[in-house]
Amino acid sequence: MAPILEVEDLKVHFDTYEGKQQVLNGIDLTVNEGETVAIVGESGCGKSVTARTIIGTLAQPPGEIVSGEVRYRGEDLLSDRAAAQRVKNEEMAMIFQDPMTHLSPVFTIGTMMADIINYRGKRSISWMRMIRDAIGRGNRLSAADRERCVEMFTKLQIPDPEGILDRYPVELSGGMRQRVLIAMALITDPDFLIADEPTTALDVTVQSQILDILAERIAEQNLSVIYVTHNLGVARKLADRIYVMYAGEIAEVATTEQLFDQPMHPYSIGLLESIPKLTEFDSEGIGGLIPNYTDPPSGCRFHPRCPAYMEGTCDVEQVPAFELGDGRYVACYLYEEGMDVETAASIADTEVEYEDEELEQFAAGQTGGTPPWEEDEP
Amino acid sequence: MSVVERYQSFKESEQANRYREEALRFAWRFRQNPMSLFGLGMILLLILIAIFAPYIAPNPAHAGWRGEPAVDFGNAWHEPSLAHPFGTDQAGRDILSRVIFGTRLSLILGLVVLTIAIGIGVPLGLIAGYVGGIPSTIIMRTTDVFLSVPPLVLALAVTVPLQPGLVTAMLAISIVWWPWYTRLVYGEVVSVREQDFVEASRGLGTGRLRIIFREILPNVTAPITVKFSLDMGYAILVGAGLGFLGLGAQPPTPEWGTMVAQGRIHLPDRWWLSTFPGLAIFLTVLAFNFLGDGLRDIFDVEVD
Amino acid sequence: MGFRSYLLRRAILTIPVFIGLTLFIFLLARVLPGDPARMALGPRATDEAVAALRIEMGLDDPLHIQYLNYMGGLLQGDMGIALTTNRNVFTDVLAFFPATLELVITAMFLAVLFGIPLGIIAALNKDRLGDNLSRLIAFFGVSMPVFWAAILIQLAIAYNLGLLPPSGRIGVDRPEWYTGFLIIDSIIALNFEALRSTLAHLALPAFALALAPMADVARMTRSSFIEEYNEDYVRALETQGLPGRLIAYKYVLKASFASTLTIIGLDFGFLIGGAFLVEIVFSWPGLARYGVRAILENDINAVMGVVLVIGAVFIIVNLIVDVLYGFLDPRVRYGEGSSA
Repeated sequence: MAPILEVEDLKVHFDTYEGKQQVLNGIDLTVNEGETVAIVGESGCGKSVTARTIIGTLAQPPGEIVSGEVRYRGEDLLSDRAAAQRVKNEEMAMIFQDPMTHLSPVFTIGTMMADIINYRGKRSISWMRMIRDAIGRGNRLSAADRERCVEMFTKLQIPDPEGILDRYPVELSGGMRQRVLIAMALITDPDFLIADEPTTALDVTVQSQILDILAERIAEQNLSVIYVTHNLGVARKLADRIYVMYAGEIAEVATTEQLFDQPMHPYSIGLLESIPKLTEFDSEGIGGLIPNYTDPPSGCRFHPRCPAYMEGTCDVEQVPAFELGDGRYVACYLYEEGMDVETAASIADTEVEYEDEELEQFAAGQTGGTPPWEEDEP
Repeated sequence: MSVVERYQSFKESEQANRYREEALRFAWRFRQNPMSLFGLGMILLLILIAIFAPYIAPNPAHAGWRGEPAVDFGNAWHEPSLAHPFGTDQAGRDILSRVIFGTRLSLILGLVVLTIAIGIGVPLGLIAGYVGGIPSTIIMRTTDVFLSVPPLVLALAVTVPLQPGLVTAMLAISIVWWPWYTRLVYGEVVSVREQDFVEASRGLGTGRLRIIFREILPNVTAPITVKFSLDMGYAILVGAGLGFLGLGAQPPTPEWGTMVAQGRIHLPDRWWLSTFPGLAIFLTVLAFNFLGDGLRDIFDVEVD
Repeated sequence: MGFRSYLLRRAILTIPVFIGLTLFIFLLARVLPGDPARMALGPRATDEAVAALRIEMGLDDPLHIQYLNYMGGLLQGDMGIALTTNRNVFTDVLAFFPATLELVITAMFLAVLFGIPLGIIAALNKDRLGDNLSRLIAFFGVSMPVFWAAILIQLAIAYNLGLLPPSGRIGVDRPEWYTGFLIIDSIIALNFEALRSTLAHLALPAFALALAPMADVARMTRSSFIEEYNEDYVRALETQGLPGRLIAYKYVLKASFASTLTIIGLDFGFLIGGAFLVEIVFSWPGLARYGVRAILENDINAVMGVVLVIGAVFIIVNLIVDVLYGFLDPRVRYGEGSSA
């Protein structure tokens, strides 16, 4: 399989009241054609920043891309702005976490669909055209496009797909709004989809419906996907491969089976072991123990929380990613380049042992919250 | 310690921390906002001018310092010159001196008007917002009526049965001004009332008055401060407007609006009579707007 | 909830305000110190004459009877006799109000015409030169006393440069009275000489009056535009690949215009207040000048009439603003947002 997207050594800093936050610290990431890749980690670990940097909506300032490349089918989107614009307009689409705020409140669904179908990817639009639109001529959905919208709404299991075109977002529930957002992202047939926790804000039954619908779309439209989530269950359901991220660094990269079969990185292990705890504890608001990004821990950023922490080794230098025998990558000094899986698994079993309270913190970290660089600042 | 006491002491230390943090941020943001610093500087300068007017003004007697404004017909109609930077009026009085003394009147007018307006408006807003029910309906419908007439027009109407003068002007403007504060405070109280910490204090049996003073009042200080600063400018404008129409301070009082009106008769030839007092109004109002706008950004509040 | 029921509910809400306004004006005239009959006749009138007038004006009836009489008169278009002109106040208002409205509406039009683009320029260049310049202009606009600005404009453009007439409403014969709005009347009469003269006379006072609301509209447009631009849905539209111009001038502008509308409604009141000052400077024969004279001569009926009419217009303007707001922003109709 050919890679469709390659991210290399991506570093992003945020300038805030507290100082310079080193949020992404050298991310490497590859998505192959037709593959669904999940980025998993606690809230505040930089997943969304990665997604936004790729599609080019990172707010700059306060964000700043310090180094790295984002290559889409070989073109570097960070250095070639024209290519970035074209790719963003024509080939990429994104769906978002909060469907309540991501739809314009003052236009009907039909108007927004019409704009997307008629003007998506256009570099500019003439004033005449805008005025004609404003007085209600032009920019109507053609019968064929209307049919397409209705078809897409039907596939997304939206009741009354015909009537919804004349509705305002305020008349729709969260689940419906998210379906509409998915429809807007998919109506123009993108090749690449970035999904930033699209089910987090919805209640549980709606979540699984949306996931099913999304899985179906991904298969049918042969999309390559980056799916950002803090929920390992969701990642397991959708993803071919999983990137486990901690504090702006990639901890482990493995196929979904490999990871759930035997996590290697101590952080992945903690994350997996804490899953059952999610149902037991409602630890909302503690927000985990994401490190301080202005003065991150030296060496491996996970070392202050790691049960297998080796003083003098882990806190000295940034850990390189070691490729193990089964092709996965782990950024941890417990392992060595090319180590076979059995040896690695026994090391993981013997060296990584968590206390219960520590797992609770992991669970807490998965329930959401505001990452430190997104709190309100002047 | 009982639960209530523990909660109170926790809240107090919490509050103290919050205030310190907020004060630091406030100072930081203030420095980021040169316009508001400039406004503050200008206002301080105006206050100094007002206080030391008799010592700064070249001819305090012309502005009515210790008595009626003196006249000096021999020096009438001087164009602006080194001796009289702003020229002299029809009675030979030095306009610069009169403009300097006018600072006093305008600042006092603004202060008095807003003190009365806040004194009436804030308690009414607190009552309407916190007590609710019939008192709230009566108060808020009354503000609706007051706000349904443009302020200057209403102030004009209020002056009808009264003797025109500076005091009348202040009274009239105060009467039309309080509903704005009632509305502002009412809105804030209603939104604050439902917040968790107020619910919590109520659950702990804290008295109503205590809740108003300890929980709600601190939350409405920011918008009131911002509005106060913006309104100082606006009240001075309305006061000058009344003076201009002959319904405020009467000549020869050195009130800026009155002076502009007096000078207008002699337009277009004797332009300096109206120009300089007007400029003084403009700069004063500008200073308060700079400060108020900066404060609005700093506190991050929106007021009408 | 549909748009129609929103409209109806909003319209019904204004009725108590109207009634409150009449009550308020009535009380203002009756309760404040000062005897209207004495004021009408002046200090040299005999006590007998004052007493007679009191009875004639119904001033010795109980207050609620007086109020009912006042309301009854109002409903028949009777606002009492203006002492200064000796005509029914209602007739006077009809005669003078079109001039003021023409001035105020023109000023509002100018304020919106220049204020909104100024605000958008500022928002799109946030914290850069264009922003700082237009903000500075806006600061000057709201800080200038309107009568002083009017005088300076009159001095510079009318007296010194002689480009436009310094005072009055029209320099040729008036066109026949249809609406009282000279622009409309002269167009109806196809009298372009009159139209030209009307516009020339209107330009300076309208511009002077427009300065403050223009600044206000610009400030509000700027801040609501910036606020809307930071909303999540704008990010969504960006990732959906829509052209920036479409996002800014269709989506963001419509959403932010709702807040600007509220300010326009408020400013209308300040404009009418400002008209009182500007009409004096430019000798504009409008309701404001009539009102000021009435106040100076203690003509209580005329003052009551002027305040009532201005209050009523202001209430109606704000009703229109609310309706437009609900039209622009469906959240208001559905009771989710609120119109300030």
